[in-house]
Amino acid sequence: MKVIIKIAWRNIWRNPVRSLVIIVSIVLGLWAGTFVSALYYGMGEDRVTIAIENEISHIQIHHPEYRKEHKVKYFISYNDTIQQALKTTPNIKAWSARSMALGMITSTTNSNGIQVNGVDPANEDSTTHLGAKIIEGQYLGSGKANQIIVGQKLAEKMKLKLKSKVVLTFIDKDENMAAGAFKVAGIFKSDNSSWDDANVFVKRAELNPLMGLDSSDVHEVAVLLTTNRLVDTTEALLKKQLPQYRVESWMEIAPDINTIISVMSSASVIFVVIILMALSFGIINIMLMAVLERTRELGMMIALGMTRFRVFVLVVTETFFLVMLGCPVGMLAGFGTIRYLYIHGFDYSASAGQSMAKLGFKSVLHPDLPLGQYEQIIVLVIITALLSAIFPAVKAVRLNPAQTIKS
Amino acid sequence: MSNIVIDAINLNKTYNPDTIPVKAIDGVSLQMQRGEFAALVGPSGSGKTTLLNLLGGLDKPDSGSILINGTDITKLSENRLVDYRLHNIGFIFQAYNLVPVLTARENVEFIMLLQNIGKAEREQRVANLLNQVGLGDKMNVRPSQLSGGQQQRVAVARALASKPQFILADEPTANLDSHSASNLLDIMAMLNKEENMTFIFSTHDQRVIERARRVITLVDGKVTSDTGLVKTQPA
Ligand SMILES: Nc1ncnc2c1ncn2[C@@H]1O[C@H](COP(=O)(O)OP(=O)(O)O)[C@@H](O)[C@H]1O
Ligand SMILES: [Mg+2]
Repeated sequence: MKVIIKIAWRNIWRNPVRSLVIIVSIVLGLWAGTFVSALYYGMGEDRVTIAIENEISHIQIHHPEYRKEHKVKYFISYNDTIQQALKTTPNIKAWSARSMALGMITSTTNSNGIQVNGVDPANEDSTTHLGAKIIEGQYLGSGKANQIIVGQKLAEKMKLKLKSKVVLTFIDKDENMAAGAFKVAGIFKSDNSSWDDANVFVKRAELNPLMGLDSSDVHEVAVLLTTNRLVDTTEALLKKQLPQYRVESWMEIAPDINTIISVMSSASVIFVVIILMALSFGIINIMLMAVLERTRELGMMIALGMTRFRVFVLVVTETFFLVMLGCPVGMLAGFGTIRYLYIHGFDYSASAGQSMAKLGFKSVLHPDLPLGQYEQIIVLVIITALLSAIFPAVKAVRLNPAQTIKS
Repeated sequence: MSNIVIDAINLNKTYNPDTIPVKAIDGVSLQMQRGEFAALVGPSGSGKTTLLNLLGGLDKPDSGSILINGTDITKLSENRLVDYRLHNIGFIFQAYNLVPVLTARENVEFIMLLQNIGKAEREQRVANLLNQVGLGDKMNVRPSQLSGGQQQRVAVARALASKPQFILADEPTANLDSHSASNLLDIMAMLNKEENMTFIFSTHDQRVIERARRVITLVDGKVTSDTGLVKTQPA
């Protein structure tokens, strides 16, 4: 077998240009494969980060019935038990207690369905950075009464300006219609425009009386952790301390985000499959050429008594060597590109930023790929290359020595 | 053990039986003894290559049998035949004999590697054989840097390296100038004598025919004359 390996190795240098074509296609295949995967992976990660840091936080606490039916009566008391639990559990960075109601916002021109969030401005800001998203006017302050902040999209739709008056209508605790007048204090814009469209913020202290609730009654406590990695353990700790409430992680709260991530990864799988098919096509062609060019020589070896199995191994080994030459280069190219763009960001706003923002994606991407996925792609490329070598190898095996030598 | 190495009985071979049938071998029977040095002659298209391919197990006859030391190789499966060729038959072809990426030494060693012969024996045999064919100084040279005659001598050394029952050579001198051709024949004759190796070579070169101790003539796939079995050890 050693001699077969030797022949295979020397054979690949007989036509360096042709070998280079295979090596380069492997390099390109790996580069494109890892890059596309990293793009999608990075998008998915970004999306999760956006959702966690701006919208849902890591963990949410509700009345056990609230998530089934968003009724005002399913409130919880934001009391010492909760506050104590949040203060003493490690790795909690911030939290925001909100009272919420589904309702309508009405301006002089039209009305829209929205969710009204009654928040404590300072806590909300440290949990979802809402203050930083104000692009016009001001964040909710302690000074003036009946302030509301609205998303940019909604403001445009409803022709709202700073100081415009709006009326919020919703159902109160006792299932009666309630309404309150507010004045636009600020306009915010996040990376997720549909979320901007659907949420308005007022002070909890002002919203609660309208809903017939005490000032300490809330519907949701959103909890931000110091790291994405401790969600499960922290969730478990909080659950133990707050058995009367429903404590859930972001994955349970927003399964759609997980869905987006899995859609993203299936999209990248499709791309990788296309790349692998192109690679396979190239390898089949070139190795077939290499075999057909050497029919006499292969026929001679079969005539001498080289088994078909060894001929097969010879052709596959040649392909394997080419893959092994291409793999490290392709991996480095892919890794390098991904790291560079991870650090510097990949701005695609010119091409598709608008539509991606609607889905809650940033227009600057940070492609990223866990090491395990590099390994997977390498393994896929190697398997593809070896499988592609089978057809040319079978051609070689099927050669009739008597015929090839005569010609 | 019988002295008869090859006993071919009533061989027939027709190419393209379904389209334009060509009867390449037509009822050939032939016996070869150990140590013979025989030429297969005849005009181009007379069936020499076909007959050698049948005897070497590279092709199967439509009918007839080929007993080599009593084994009917026409009955062997394709896989058994490959192994049979490896251990029993030496081949020298007209051209494209050598693996281009292997040196002279490696080409000779190659066949012994396929036979799983140990390193020490391999190295010794390779050196001996290449010296015998006069290429002791070209051991580490690749075929492309050898002349046609030198390449054929490497092929002879390789054919011998596997210790076959006999060596088949299909027009081994066809691509050689007369000097190289006679030099190759000298070497083959010498090995025939010293190693008692059986050689069957096809040719239509008169000077080569003169070197044979037995001449079998083929015309249109039939043996038309055979100078007969000559005692193997010449005077
Ligand atoms: N693969 C083949 N297919 C069809 N006809 C063939 C094939 N090989 C040889 N022949 C024919 O068989 C006859 C004998 O050929 P061959 O054995 O090569 O003769 P030689 O070696 O004496 O020149 C010729 O007529 C040749 O055309
Ligand atoms: Mg011929």
